[in-house]
Amino acid sequence: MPPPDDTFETRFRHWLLAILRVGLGGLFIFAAFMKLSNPQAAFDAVNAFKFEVFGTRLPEHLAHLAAFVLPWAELIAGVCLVVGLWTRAAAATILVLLGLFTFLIVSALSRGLDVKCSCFGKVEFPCTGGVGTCHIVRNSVLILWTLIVLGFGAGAVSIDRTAARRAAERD
Amino acid sequence: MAQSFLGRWAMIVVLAVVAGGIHSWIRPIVKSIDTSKLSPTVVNGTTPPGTPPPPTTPNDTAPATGTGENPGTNGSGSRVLGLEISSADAKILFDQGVPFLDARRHDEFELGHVPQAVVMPPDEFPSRAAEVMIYSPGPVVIYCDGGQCDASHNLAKLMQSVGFTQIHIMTDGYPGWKGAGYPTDAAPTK
Repeated sequence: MPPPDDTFETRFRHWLLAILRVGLGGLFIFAAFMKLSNPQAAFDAVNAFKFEVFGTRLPEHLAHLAAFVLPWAELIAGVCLVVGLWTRAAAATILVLLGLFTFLIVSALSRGLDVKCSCFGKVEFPCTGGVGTCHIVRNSVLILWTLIVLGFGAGAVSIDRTAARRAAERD
Repeated sequence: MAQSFLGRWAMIVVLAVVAGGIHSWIRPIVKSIDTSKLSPTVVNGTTPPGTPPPPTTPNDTAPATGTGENPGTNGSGSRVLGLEISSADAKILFDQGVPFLDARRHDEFELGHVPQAVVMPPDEFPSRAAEVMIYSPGPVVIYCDGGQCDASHNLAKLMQSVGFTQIHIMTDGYPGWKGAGYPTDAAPTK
Protein backbone atom coordinates (compact mmCIF):
# COMPACT_ATOMS: atom_id res chain seq x y z
CA MET A 1 0.00 0.00 0.00
CA PRO A 2 1.51 3.36 -1.04
CA PRO A 3 2.19 5.95 1.67
CA PRO A 4 -0.62 8.50 2.15
CA ASP A 5 1.38 11.16 0.35
CA ASP A 6 1.84 9.06 -2.77
CA THR A 7 -1.70 8.10 -3.79
CA PHE A 8 -3.05 9.17 -7.16
CA GLU A 9 -5.57 11.51 -5.51
CA THR A 10 -2.88 13.23 -3.44
CA ARG A 11 -0.54 13.66 -6.38
CA PHE A 12 -3.39 14.92 -8.56
CA ARG A 13 -4.36 17.43 -5.85
CA HIS A 14 -0.76 18.62 -5.47
CA TRP A 15 -0.28 19.08 -9.21
CA LEU A 16 -3.63 20.83 -9.57
CA LEU A 17 -2.62 23.20 -6.76
CA ALA A 18 0.73 23.77 -8.47
CA ILE A 19 -1.00 24.72 -11.72
CA LEU A 20 -3.39 27.08 -9.91
CA ARG A 21 -0.52 28.64 -7.94
CA VAL A 22 1.79 29.14 -10.92
CA GLY A 23 -1.09 30.42 -13.07
CA LEU A 24 -2.12 32.97 -10.44
CA GLY A 25 1.48 34.05 -9.88
CA GLY A 26 2.14 34.37 -13.60
CA LEU A 27 -0.99 36.46 -14.09
CA PHE A 28 0.08 38.93 -11.40
CA ILE A 29 3.67 39.07 -12.66
CA PHE A 30 2.25 40.01 -16.06
CA ALA A 31 -0.06 42.64 -14.51
CA ALA A 32 2.86 44.11 -12.55
CA PHE A 33 5.13 44.14 -15.58
CA MET A 34 2.51 45.96 -17.68
CA LYS A 35 2.08 48.63 -14.99
CA LEU A 36 5.78 49.05 -14.19
CA SER A 37 6.64 49.37 -17.89
CA ASN A 38 4.52 52.53 -18.04
CA PRO A 39 4.39 54.09 -14.54
CA GLN A 40 2.92 57.32 -15.91
CA ALA A 41 -0.16 55.44 -17.14
CA ALA A 42 -0.35 53.62 -13.79
CA PHE A 43 -0.25 56.95 -11.94
CA ASP A 44 -2.93 58.41 -14.22
CA ALA A 45 -5.04 55.28 -13.71
CA VAL A 46 -4.81 55.59 -9.91
CA ASN A 47 -5.69 59.29 -10.14
CA ALA A 48 -8.64 58.66 -12.44
CA PHE A 49 -10.46 56.81 -9.64
CA LYS A 50 -10.57 60.13 -7.72
CA PHE A 51 -10.36 58.17 -4.48
CA GLU A 52 -11.59 60.10 -1.46
CA VAL A 53 -11.31 59.50 2.28
CA PHE A 54 -13.91 61.42 4.30
CA GLY A 55 -14.45 63.76 1.37
CA THR A 56 -10.74 64.50 0.90
CA ARG A 57 -9.07 63.50 -2.34
CA LEU A 58 -6.07 61.16 -2.10
CA PRO A 59 -2.99 63.45 -2.10
CA GLU A 60 -0.92 63.34 -5.30
CA HIS A 61 2.19 62.06 -3.57
CA LEU A 62 0.23 59.10 -2.17
CA ALA A 63 -1.20 58.36 -5.62
CA HIS A 64 2.37 58.55 -6.92
CA LEU A 65 3.56 56.07 -4.29
CA ALA A 66 0.56 53.77 -4.84
CA ALA A 67 1.28 53.68 -8.59
CA PHE A 68 4.62 52.03 -7.79
CA VAL A 69 3.99 50.10 -4.57
CA LEU A 70 0.90 48.22 -5.81
CA PRO A 71 2.62 46.77 -8.93
CA TRP A 72 5.70 45.90 -6.86
CA ALA A 73 3.46 44.07 -4.38
CA GLU A 74 1.91 42.19 -7.32
CA LEU A 75 5.36 41.36 -8.68
CA ILE A 76 6.84 40.12 -5.39
CA ALA A 77 3.74 38.09 -4.48
CA GLY A 78 3.57 36.74 -8.06
CA VAL A 79 7.20 35.57 -7.99
CA CYS A 80 6.66 33.98 -4.55
CA LEU A 81 3.65 32.09 -5.94
CA VAL A 82 5.46 30.87 -9.05
CA VAL A 83 8.40 29.44 -7.09
CA GLY A 84 6.15 28.33 -4.22
CA LEU A 85 7.90 30.34 -1.52
CA TRP A 86 5.78 31.72 1.34
CA THR A 87 2.78 30.66 -0.74
CA ARG A 88 0.05 31.45 1.78
CA ALA A 89 1.50 34.86 2.66
CA ALA A 90 1.83 35.69 -1.06
CA ALA A 91 -1.75 34.55 -1.70
CA ALA A 92 -2.91 36.73 1.21
CA THR A 93 -1.13 39.71 -0.39
CA ILE A 94 -2.87 39.04 -3.70
CA LEU A 95 -6.18 38.69 -1.84
CA VAL A 96 -5.74 42.10 -0.18
CA LEU A 97 -4.84 43.67 -3.55
CA LEU A 98 -7.86 42.11 -5.26
CA GLY A 99 -10.08 43.32 -2.43
CA LEU A 100 -8.70 46.84 -2.80
CA PHE A 101 -9.09 46.85 -6.60
CA THR A 102 -12.64 45.54 -6.37
CA PHE A 103 -13.52 48.15 -3.76
CA LEU A 104 -12.12 50.90 -6.04
CA ILE A 105 -14.12 49.61 -9.01
CA VAL A 106 -17.37 49.45 -7.00
CA SER A 107 -16.63 52.90 -5.58
CA ALA A 108 -16.02 54.34 -9.07
CA LEU A 109 -19.22 52.77 -10.39
CA SER A 110 -21.26 54.07 -7.47
CA ARG A 111 -19.97 57.60 -8.20
CA GLY A 112 -20.76 57.25 -11.91
CA LEU A 113 -17.13 57.55 -13.00
CA ASP A 114 -16.21 56.28 -16.44
CA VAL A 115 -12.64 55.10 -15.89
CA LYS A 116 -10.43 52.49 -17.45
CA CYS A 117 -9.32 49.64 -15.22
CA SER A 118 -5.70 49.55 -16.48
CA CYS A 119 -5.45 46.33 -14.45
CA PHE A 120 -3.15 44.82 -17.08
CA GLY A 121 -1.82 48.08 -18.49
CA LYS A 122 -2.76 48.44 -22.15
CA VAL A 123 -4.04 44.86 -22.38
CA GLU A 124 -7.78 44.59 -21.75
CA PHE A 125 -8.64 40.98 -20.95
CA PRO A 126 -11.24 39.60 -20.63
CA CYS A 127 -13.11 42.87 -19.94
CA THR A 128 -12.86 45.79 -22.34
CA GLY A 129 -13.78 49.46 -22.02
CA GLY A 130 -14.50 51.30 -18.80
CA VAL A 131 -14.84 49.52 -15.48
CA GLY A 132 -18.12 47.69 -15.02
CA THR A 133 -19.80 44.50 -13.92
CA CYS A 134 -17.41 42.39 -16.02
CA HIS A 135 -14.47 43.65 -13.94
CA ILE A 136 -16.26 42.80 -10.69
CA VAL A 137 -17.09 39.28 -11.92
CA ARG A 138 -13.49 38.79 -13.12
CA ASN A 139 -12.11 39.93 -9.76
CA SER A 140 -14.56 37.65 -7.93
CA VAL A 141 -13.25 34.67 -9.93
CA LEU A 142 -9.68 35.73 -9.12
CA ILE A 143 -10.56 36.07 -5.43
CA LEU A 144 -11.99 32.53 -5.45
CA TRP A 145 -8.86 31.28 -7.23
CA THR A 146 -6.66 33.02 -4.63
CA LEU A 147 -8.70 31.58 -1.75
CA ILE A 148 -8.08 28.05 -3.05
CA VAL A 149 -4.30 28.69 -3.10
CA LEU A 150 -4.49 30.37 0.31
CA GLY A 151 -6.50 27.53 1.81
CA PHE A 152 -4.74 24.50 0.33
CA GLY A 153 -1.15 25.72 0.05
CA ALA A 154 1.60 25.39 -2.51
CA GLY A 155 1.12 21.90 -3.96
CA ALA A 156 3.80 20.16 -6.04
CA VAL A 157 7.07 21.68 -7.28
CA SER A 158 7.36 24.34 -4.63
CA ILE A 159 10.02 25.55 -2.22
CA ASP A 160 7.49 25.43 0.63
CA ARG A 161 6.75 21.72 0.04
CA THR A 162 10.43 20.82 -0.34
CA ALA A 163 11.25 22.67 2.87
CA ALA A 164 8.39 20.95 4.71
CA ARG A 165 9.58 17.52 3.52
CA ARG A 166 13.15 18.22 4.62
CA ALA A 167 11.93 19.42 8.00
CA ALA A 168 9.86 16.25 8.37
CA GLU A 169 12.86 14.08 7.44
CA ARG A 170 15.01 15.85 10.03
CA ASP A 171 12.40 15.16 12.69
CA MET B 1 2.43 29.06 12.53
CA ALA B 2 0.18 32.15 12.51
CA GLN B 3 3.16 34.19 13.61
CA SER B 4 5.31 33.01 10.69
CA PHE B 5 2.40 33.60 8.27
CA LEU B 6 1.96 37.18 9.49
CA GLY B 7 5.72 37.73 9.53
CA ARG B 8 6.04 36.56 5.91
CA TRP B 9 3.08 38.62 4.83
CA ALA B 10 4.54 41.70 6.53
CA MET B 11 7.89 40.99 4.84
CA ILE B 12 6.23 40.95 1.38
CA VAL B 13 4.45 44.23 2.15
CA VAL B 14 7.64 45.89 3.45
CA LEU B 15 9.59 44.69 0.40
CA ALA B 16 6.91 46.11 -1.92
CA VAL B 17 6.86 49.46 -0.12
CA VAL B 18 10.67 49.73 -0.17
CA ALA B 19 11.00 48.66 -3.82
CA GLY B 20 8.07 50.85 -4.90
CA GLY B 21 9.38 53.79 -2.87
CA ILE B 22 12.83 53.59 -4.43
CA HIS B 23 11.35 53.13 -7.91
CA SER B 24 9.03 56.13 -7.49
CA TRP B 25 12.01 58.20 -6.37
CA ILE B 26 14.19 57.38 -9.40
CA ARG B 27 11.44 57.33 -12.06
CA PRO B 28 9.98 60.78 -12.73
CA ILE B 29 6.23 61.14 -13.14
CA VAL B 30 4.47 64.14 -14.67
CA LYS B 31 1.85 64.87 -12.04
CA SER B 32 0.05 67.87 -13.47
CA ILE B 33 0.15 70.48 -16.20
CA ASP B 34 2.49 73.39 -15.48
CA THR B 35 0.22 76.16 -16.70
CA SER B 36 2.86 78.85 -16.10
CA LYS B 37 4.82 77.42 -19.04
CA LEU B 38 1.91 77.40 -21.47
CA SER B 39 1.48 80.03 -24.17
CA PRO B 40 -2.01 81.29 -24.97
CA THR B 41 -3.40 81.37 -28.51
CA VAL B 42 -4.84 84.61 -29.87
CA VAL B 43 -7.85 84.23 -32.14
CA ASN B 44 -10.08 86.65 -33.96
CA GLY B 45 -13.81 86.30 -33.58
CA THR B 46 -16.28 86.18 -30.78
CA THR B 47 -17.88 83.30 -28.99
CA PRO B 48 -21.43 82.73 -30.25
CA PRO B 49 -24.10 84.15 -27.94
CA GLY B 50 -25.43 81.72 -25.36
CA THR B 51 -22.26 79.65 -25.28
CA PRO B 52 -21.44 78.79 -21.69
CA PRO B 53 -17.88 79.58 -20.56
CA PRO B 54 -15.59 76.62 -19.98
CA PRO B 55 -15.63 75.37 -16.37
CA THR B 56 -12.83 76.69 -14.21
CA THR B 57 -10.70 74.12 -12.44
CA PRO B 58 -7.56 74.47 -10.31
CA ASN B 59 -5.59 73.47 -13.42
CA ASP B 60 -7.09 76.28 -15.47
CA THR B 61 -4.72 79.06 -14.64
CA ALA B 62 -3.16 79.52 -18.05
CA PRO B 63 -2.02 83.10 -18.50
CA ALA B 64 -4.60 85.37 -20.08
CA THR B 65 -2.82 88.42 -21.38
CA GLY B 66 -5.96 90.43 -21.93
CA THR B 67 -6.11 93.96 -20.62
CA GLY B 68 -9.83 94.66 -21.03
CA GLU B 69 -12.59 94.09 -18.51
CA ASN B 70 -13.45 90.77 -20.08
CA PRO B 71 -10.71 88.27 -19.17
CA GLY B 72 -9.36 86.57 -22.24
CA THR B 73 -9.74 89.56 -24.55
CA ASN B 74 -7.00 91.94 -25.50
CA GLY B 75 -9.13 94.97 -26.24
CA SER B 76 -8.76 94.80 -30.03
CA GLY B 77 -11.53 92.32 -30.83
CA SER B 78 -9.25 89.33 -30.75
CA ARG B 79 -9.37 86.92 -27.87
CA VAL B 80 -6.81 84.96 -25.90
CA LEU B 81 -7.45 81.27 -25.33
CA GLY B 82 -5.97 79.61 -22.26
CA LEU B 83 -5.64 75.93 -21.42
CA GLU B 84 -9.32 75.07 -21.17
CA ILE B 85 -11.62 76.17 -23.95
CA SER B 86 -15.24 75.65 -24.96
CA SER B 87 -16.33 73.74 -28.04
CA ALA B 88 -17.22 77.07 -29.68
CA ASP B 89 -13.63 78.29 -29.26
CA ALA B 90 -12.38 74.89 -30.40
CA LYS B 91 -14.47 75.33 -33.58
CA ILE B 92 -12.68 78.63 -34.27
CA LEU B 93 -9.34 76.82 -33.98
CA PHE B 94 -10.70 73.95 -36.08
CA ASP B 95 -11.59 76.41 -38.85
CA GLN B 96 -8.04 77.78 -38.68
CA GLY B 97 -6.64 74.29 -39.28
CA VAL B 98 -5.37 73.66 -35.78
CA PRO B 99 -4.79 69.90 -35.29
CA PHE B 100 -7.09 68.00 -32.92
CA LEU B 101 -6.04 65.05 -30.78
CA ASP B 102 -8.63 62.58 -29.50
CA ALA B 103 -7.52 61.19 -26.11
CA ARG B 104 -10.31 58.62 -25.88
CA ARG B 105 -10.09 54.89 -26.51
CA HIS B 106 -9.91 53.60 -30.09
CA ASP B 107 -13.38 52.05 -29.94
CA GLU B 108 -14.91 55.37 -28.82
CA PHE B 109 -12.96 57.24 -31.50
CA GLU B 110 -14.20 54.95 -34.23
CA LEU B 111 -17.82 55.56 -33.24
CA GLY B 112 -17.40 59.27 -33.94
CA HIS B 113 -14.75 61.97 -33.73
CA VAL B 114 -13.78 65.44 -34.89
CA PRO B 115 -12.79 65.28 -38.59
CA GLN B 116 -9.04 64.79 -39.16
CA ALA B 117 -8.47 64.22 -35.43
CA VAL B 118 -5.65 61.88 -34.46
CA VAL B 119 -6.56 59.25 -31.88
CA MET B 120 -3.95 59.29 -29.11
CA PRO B 121 -4.89 57.65 -25.81
CA PRO B 122 -2.41 58.89 -23.16
CA ASP B 123 -0.98 55.41 -22.51
CA GLU B 124 0.04 55.20 -26.17
CA PHE B 125 1.79 58.56 -26.20
CA PRO B 126 5.25 57.31 -25.07
CA SER B 127 5.45 54.96 -28.06
CA ARG B 128 3.65 57.19 -30.59
CA ALA B 129 4.91 60.65 -29.64
CA ALA B 130 6.75 61.00 -32.97
CA GLU B 131 3.40 61.02 -34.80
CA VAL B 132 2.38 64.31 -33.23
CA MET B 133 5.77 65.99 -32.76
CA ILE B 134 5.26 67.65 -36.17
CA TYR B 135 2.65 69.84 -34.45
CA SER B 136 5.06 70.97 -31.69
CA PRO B 137 4.98 73.46 -29.98
CA GLY B 138 1.33 73.90 -30.92
CA PRO B 139 -1.34 75.06 -30.98
CA VAL B 140 -3.19 71.78 -30.60
CA VAL B 141 -6.63 70.97 -29.24
CA ILE B 142 -7.15 67.86 -27.12
CA TYR B 143 -10.50 66.41 -26.20
CA CYS B 144 -12.01 63.33 -24.61
CA ASP B 145 -15.53 62.77 -23.29
CA GLY B 146 -15.84 65.98 -21.29
CA GLY B 147 -17.23 65.93 -17.76
CA GLN B 148 -15.04 63.84 -15.48
CA CYS B 149 -12.86 62.50 -18.27
CA ASP B 150 -9.17 62.81 -17.32
CA ALA B 151 -7.62 61.60 -20.56
CA SER B 152 -7.24 65.10 -22.09
CA HIS B 153 -5.36 66.43 -19.08
CA ASN B 154 -3.23 63.29 -18.91
CA LEU B 155 -2.29 63.63 -22.58
CA ALA B 156 -1.70 67.38 -22.20
CA LYS B 157 0.83 66.95 -19.40
CA LEU B 158 2.70 64.31 -21.40
CA MET B 159 2.78 66.59 -24.45
CA GLN B 160 4.01 69.47 -22.33
CA SER B 161 6.84 67.28 -21.05
CA VAL B 162 8.11 66.82 -24.62
CA GLY B 163 7.97 70.51 -25.57
CA PHE B 164 4.40 71.46 -26.48
CA THR B 165 3.54 74.88 -25.12
CA GLN B 166 0.32 75.82 -26.90
CA ILE B 167 -2.12 73.21 -25.68
CA HIS B 168 -5.87 73.64 -25.43
CA ILE B 169 -8.34 71.26 -23.85
CA MET B 170 -11.92 71.27 -25.12
CA THR B 171 -13.58 70.81 -21.75
CA ASP B 172 -17.00 69.77 -22.99
CA GLY B 173 -15.32 67.06 -25.05
CA TYR B 174 -16.72 65.22 -28.02
CA PRO B 175 -20.29 65.18 -26.62
CA GLY B 176 -20.19 69.01 -26.46
CA TRP B 177 -18.77 69.25 -29.97
CA LYS B 178 -21.35 66.89 -31.40
CA GLY B 179 -24.16 68.50 -29.42
CA ALA B 180 -23.28 71.90 -30.87
CA GLY B 181 -23.83 70.49 -34.34
CA TYR B 182 -20.23 70.81 -35.49
CA PRO B 183 -18.91 68.41 -38.16
CA THR B 184 -18.07 64.86 -37.11
CA ASP B 185 -16.59 61.85 -38.76
CA ALA B 186 -17.29 58.24 -37.89
CA ALA B 187 -14.75 56.53 -40.11
CA PRO B 188 -11.40 55.75 -38.50
CA THR B 189 -8.97 58.45 -39.61
CA LYS B 190 -5.80 57.17 -37.93
